[in-house]
Amino acid sequence: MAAISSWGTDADGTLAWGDCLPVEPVLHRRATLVDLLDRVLDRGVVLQADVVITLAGVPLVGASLRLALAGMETMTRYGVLTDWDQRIRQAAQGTATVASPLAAGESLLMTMPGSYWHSRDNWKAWRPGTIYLTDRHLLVLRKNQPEALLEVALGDIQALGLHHGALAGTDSELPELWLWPATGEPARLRARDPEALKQALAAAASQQGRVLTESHPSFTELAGPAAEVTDVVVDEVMWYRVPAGRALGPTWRRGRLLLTTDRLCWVYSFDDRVLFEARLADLTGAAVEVRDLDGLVGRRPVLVVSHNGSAHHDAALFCTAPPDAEALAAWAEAIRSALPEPQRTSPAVPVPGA
Amino acid sequence: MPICIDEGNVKQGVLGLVMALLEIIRDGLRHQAMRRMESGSLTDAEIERLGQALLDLDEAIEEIKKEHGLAHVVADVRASLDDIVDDALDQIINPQRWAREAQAQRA
Repeated sequence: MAAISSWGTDADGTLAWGDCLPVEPVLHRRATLVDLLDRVLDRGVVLQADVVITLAGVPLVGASLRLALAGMETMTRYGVLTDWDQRIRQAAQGTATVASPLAAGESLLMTMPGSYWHSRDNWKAWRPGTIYLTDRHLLVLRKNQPEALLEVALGDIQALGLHHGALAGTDSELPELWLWPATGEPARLRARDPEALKQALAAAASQQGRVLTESHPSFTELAGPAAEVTDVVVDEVMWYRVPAGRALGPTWRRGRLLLTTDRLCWVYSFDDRVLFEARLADLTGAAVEVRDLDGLVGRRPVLVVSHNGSAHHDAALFCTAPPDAEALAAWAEAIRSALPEPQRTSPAVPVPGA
Repeated sequence: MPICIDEGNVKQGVLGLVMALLEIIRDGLRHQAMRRMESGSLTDAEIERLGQALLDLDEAIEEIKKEHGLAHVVADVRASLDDIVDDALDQIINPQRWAREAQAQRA
């Protein structure tokens, strides 16, 4: 009989060393899931199965399964997967030489998980890693496939600020630490505790006798969508009904509506693409209407912007969440007053059904 | 024997279940790691790295549990999973129980 024994899961009492108690052997037969797992993996399981799925007496799908499940130690003992085991360990040997990120004489001040906004080479993404703050450098390192995502000497950091970046696809925002090194591009960091990281950076700078400024012109550029949108007059968070694509019907997405001196454009927060753009000269009107937006959204005020070449039904639609008719009215007013003189007098938007 | 998840707090329940499974996998991995280390086939550097990774994993799990106040939920889920396993194994391998059940059927 296979008695499954387990070392008492140490919850059943604390015995201090030196207490003189008579030791009685006890057969502890309570099995736990972990015991079972350990047993199975230590011993190994082999499963062979042939399956044929039949419908109305006609075999349709066949599966011939052979499964061997065991701990790698057991596997290699039976000579299974040994070459793979070797290869993986050799590959790890090559890449695992992440020596300490510190140079000689450098001391570590703070480390925390975080991520770095990578926006080079046409590829934009948050890349996770570990942030190291030493007395000389700020580093963001990846451990697997070792790579320094960011490496800045503390003396190079000119400006440092906390900003709020949109969390892709949601309405919520995450604090981000933005910094501007004297050489190179401004950098965006997310960290477990950006406030503490910022204070530590500022403290490290003041030890070197420097004061970091809170803002820098490059930060507004970082905040703005693409560099091509200039002369922004109004810039607010706004939902836009992205017209139907090949596979999807029209979808509401969150982004920012920008009114510049010559254009109206909407930038998708997720990837900073400009999805709606019209020259002011092409706009024919802007008005607030209450519309029944299908689905869960229901009736709510929307900003309807019509432009040349668009029939009424494919005028651009914008709305706020939560619904805010006043803000939309202010937008409509701002757009109308930005229109060139002759268009301003024309009726804002054709009345539906007229 | 059902696994009881508090209906009033689904987040805690679900997270607790996930963390419990994670802990069980962690324990299984640790046991296998021990076997590999003891077998002598790993180099010192590999043992060091493996130990550090397991410690990091422990730390991360403990931190998540603390952050969401999950310690007792996870312990409960694990205890009830263990009960299920214990009961099933008992049914399979304990002849005394077979005898008891056979008697109960006859009666």
